[in-house]
Amino acid sequence: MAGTGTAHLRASDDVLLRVEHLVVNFPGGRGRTVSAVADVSFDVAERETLGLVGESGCGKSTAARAVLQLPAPTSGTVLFSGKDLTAVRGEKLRTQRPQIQIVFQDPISSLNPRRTVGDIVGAPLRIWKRGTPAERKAKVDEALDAVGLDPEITREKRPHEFSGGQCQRICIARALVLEPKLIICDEPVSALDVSVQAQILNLLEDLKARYGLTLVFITHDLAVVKNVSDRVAVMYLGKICEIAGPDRLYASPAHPYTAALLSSIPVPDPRVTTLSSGLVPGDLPSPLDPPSGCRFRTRCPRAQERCAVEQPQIREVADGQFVACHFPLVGEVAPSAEVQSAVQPTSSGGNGAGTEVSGGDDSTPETPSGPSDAAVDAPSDTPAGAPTDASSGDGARAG
Amino acid sequence: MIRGRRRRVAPVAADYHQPGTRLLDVNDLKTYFRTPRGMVRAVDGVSLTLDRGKTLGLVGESGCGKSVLSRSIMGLLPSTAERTGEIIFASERLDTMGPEALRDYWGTQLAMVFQDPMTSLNPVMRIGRQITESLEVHTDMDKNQARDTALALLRSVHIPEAERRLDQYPHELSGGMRQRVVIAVALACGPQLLFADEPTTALDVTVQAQILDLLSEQQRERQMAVVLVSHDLGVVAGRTQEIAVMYAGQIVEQAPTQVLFSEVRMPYTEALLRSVPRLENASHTRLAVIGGRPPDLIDPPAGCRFAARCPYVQPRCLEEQPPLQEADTPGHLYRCWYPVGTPAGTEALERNLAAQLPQAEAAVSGELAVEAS
Repeated sequence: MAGTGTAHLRASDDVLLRVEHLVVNFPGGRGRTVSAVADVSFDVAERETLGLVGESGCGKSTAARAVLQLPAPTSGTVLFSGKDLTAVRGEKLRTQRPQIQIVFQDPISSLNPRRTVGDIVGAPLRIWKRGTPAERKAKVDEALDAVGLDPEITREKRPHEFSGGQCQRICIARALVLEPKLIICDEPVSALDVSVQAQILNLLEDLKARYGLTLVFITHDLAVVKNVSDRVAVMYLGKICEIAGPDRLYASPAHPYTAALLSSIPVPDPRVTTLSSGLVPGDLPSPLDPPSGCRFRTRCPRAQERCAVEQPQIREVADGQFVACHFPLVGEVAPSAEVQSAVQPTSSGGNGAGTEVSGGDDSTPETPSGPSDAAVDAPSDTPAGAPTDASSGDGARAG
Repeated sequence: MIRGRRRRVAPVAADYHQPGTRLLDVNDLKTYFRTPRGMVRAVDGVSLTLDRGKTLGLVGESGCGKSVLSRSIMGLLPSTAERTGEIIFASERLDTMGPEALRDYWGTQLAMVFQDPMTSLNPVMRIGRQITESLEVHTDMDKNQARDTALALLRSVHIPEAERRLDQYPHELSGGMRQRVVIAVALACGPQLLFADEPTTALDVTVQAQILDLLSEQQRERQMAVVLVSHDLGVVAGRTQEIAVMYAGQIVEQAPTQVLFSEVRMPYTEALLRSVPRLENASHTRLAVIGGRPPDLIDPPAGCRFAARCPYVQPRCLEEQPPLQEADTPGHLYRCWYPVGTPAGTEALERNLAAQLPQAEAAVSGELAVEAS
């Protein structure tokens, strides 16, 4: 899970945003550091929607905000239209900001309650001194109209007179008014009712087509992200686990964590029984002290000794599907192929830490019997959730 | 905290411990709130029944009255509320009881798990004490027995290192662990009826699955009846025997879970189901939307309350309120003049499509209905 590497980055010219080796650390007190985002790389092509999914605390919002330099990342590069945003400061950075806008989760608290909607949506234009007052008003009206609000009615009202869904439309209008290239949507529908959520998702799709927008869509809801994305990146504890097109990712997840997430989703159909429990026992480990090797190993049903020692590199397991896992569910490893020798791969995996990808290929035929044992043992030892420390299975796995 | 009080357990006849017995009977419950603008009819004439060991799902958008309904049954309403109607729990009338009498029911017979585990625990009280508090009030246990019971409870809700947790404070636990503690507190005195008010909304999807599994496990073991309140149809689909869909303070459709999903009659339920993004759909699938918003509950419309947003709406819907009527399948109730899946309903939808009614077109194609404010 601890996905490092850049194998999934694309070389083509139409990449609008390219983030490489992004690291964001926060001071954790007593000299410790919170490793919120640890060596994450991703890219977004023009007019594409990248979905970032993961549980709370996995660093998805932090990664997106680091793109905006809010705050600036600890290290790594953020190339936006070819310019490195991490290398510029002050006024030079400020002039880049109109290109990238953000829509936050809670629409009501992200609007100033004392301003009118016209003021709120027009503020970016005033700050950037775009056009005459009359032109600005026309622009505001156009943006309000684009998000499905009647400018005549809404312009003079204040945020408290609107419902949550309408407030989110106002936030989107405000993000649109400077004609940005990239909009980061940080859980834009999580605070909304299902019926309103559908309206906002449809609206974002319409606006994307109409204005040629590029979106980074952050959410914890896998069904939502599937609906809007062209490419989905799954994050866990500051790392990327898997990145693929949505239809592929949902049909055949390669990372055990993606599979666990997918099977946890409640399906609105009583005939479908979710077989969720046991797959991901326990809570997210603390980013103050992340597990060694693969960060997912403490909750992974397929974890081996190798996972504790060696950090998996992102590699392509199928066309357009990239995964950071030693024992992915898709690709060269056939998970059902049970072979006898279980001791061999653990020692060779531990020693061969330097051999990386090729080592993975070689050892794979022998490994599967190991993971399936672990899958049976781990959940029964630690029922529904011993976290990181002191759980019985951990000592063996940590090696 | 409350020392030297008499043991407080409401007497309940022995046969109520048999599975399948009627446990809760609510008749024409109305809860109105007094506000400066007028009376808000938050719950407006709800009747329902619940048998022992069964789970009822309450679904609806925010503001539809589902939380107020469960709080009305519990008797946990602010002083601005006015409640009428009958609430019969294990043959006792709860609605006529004062708070003093209800205290004997809270915890021991009726318990509640709230949405936000962060705010429903006392931040300055140790976990153990939060559980033993109600045990000491409601049972004969002394301190040590209560502590042992609390430990057993924490283990039964699968909290690792339960012994250590007893002396920790809520902030030392993660959200999922805190919700487990809240469940342990609710289960401490062995309630017959548990209200779970959006118990997983504040939690991550993997934790949500664990908490829902835990609730159904505890329910099976204790033969408890559960009212599961949620806005997520996915959550209630797999976990309930019966579902009641609420809209604007009323139950608009109620049916056994299987029947509700396979034979939807109420256009609102259909619209809710359609607006949920589904995993099996290809990406960029257009979602069906419900335009507009729920009516003002101070002055609800004369006819059907969903009429203004309904794709099937006909003149009759605006004038006459449809009664809750029984469908062909027994136990399936709906509130509609032109129900989905019947000739009358299909005809009504076609007429609206022919007349290019915006909400009908939106429901079919998922096009954006412009919201007027």
